[in-house]
Amino acid sequence: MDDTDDIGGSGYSLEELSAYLDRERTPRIAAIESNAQCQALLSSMERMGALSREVVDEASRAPLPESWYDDVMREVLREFRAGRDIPILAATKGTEVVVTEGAVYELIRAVGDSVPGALVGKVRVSPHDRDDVLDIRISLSLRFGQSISEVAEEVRTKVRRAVSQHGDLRAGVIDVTVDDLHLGEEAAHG
Amino acid sequence: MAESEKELEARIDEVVAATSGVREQYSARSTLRRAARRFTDAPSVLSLVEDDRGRRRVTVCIGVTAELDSSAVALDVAAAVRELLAEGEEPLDVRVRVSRLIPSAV
Repeated sequence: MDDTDDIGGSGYSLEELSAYLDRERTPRIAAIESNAQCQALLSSMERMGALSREVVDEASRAPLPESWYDDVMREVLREFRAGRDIPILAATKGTEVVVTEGAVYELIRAVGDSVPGALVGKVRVSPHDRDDVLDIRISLSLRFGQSISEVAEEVRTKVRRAVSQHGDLRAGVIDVTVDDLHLGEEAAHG
Repeated sequence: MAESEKELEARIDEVVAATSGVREQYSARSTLRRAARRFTDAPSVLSLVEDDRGRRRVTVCIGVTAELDSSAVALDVAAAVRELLAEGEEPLDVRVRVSRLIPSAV
């Protein structure tokens, strides 16, 4: 059994989740709807679909190879596994509040994708010197014609702000690497 | 008659879902326990109530809109669970696990 056969212990494969999304989540399947990893993956599939439509898909201009999407989905599968629990508040007597590593990955990926001209390829998170301070590495594809430094800085700023929104959680070092280029509608038609 | 754990879990699910800022709720059971439940007729409760040597432990898993402070929402959830169980005499541990920070655009 590989990573795509049983998402988050739901009993449903990646292919079945994709089919579930295609039929607009009906009939409703409780094992999927109550599973955080399935929900994160479905949400990511929807967002990837929206982003894909923004990218020109003329084969001759090939702004992004099909394999790029496969690679990203593989990354999403890996990242969205719950992973370790990160404390986001100092423990008080009898109450413990944690966020999963998978939730942090989903947040960073969504924030990165929201920056115009950026498509996140890979995210890596590791503890800095405390559990609630995270060093973050992001690789992304840049829309042709965009400024590398401006997009990278905007991704860094937005990710730092988004992470520090949640209790004691903080971003340490944020490295942004541009390792791919794609054409957007403006570049393709301009 | 004492309330069963399943009934209690169902009531906890209700107060968690009613807490402001909670967008989704997920099963707090481990992967193995979730798999086992697929083969039973157990009602689909999401919260988990366990007894740890006379100490009651409640675990809930939630999804919060990414723009909100999930720690504040989680504290509200913990307070709501404590209020629900206030009549009990047992010591209580509440663990709130934020399993998703959900992008608002989706």
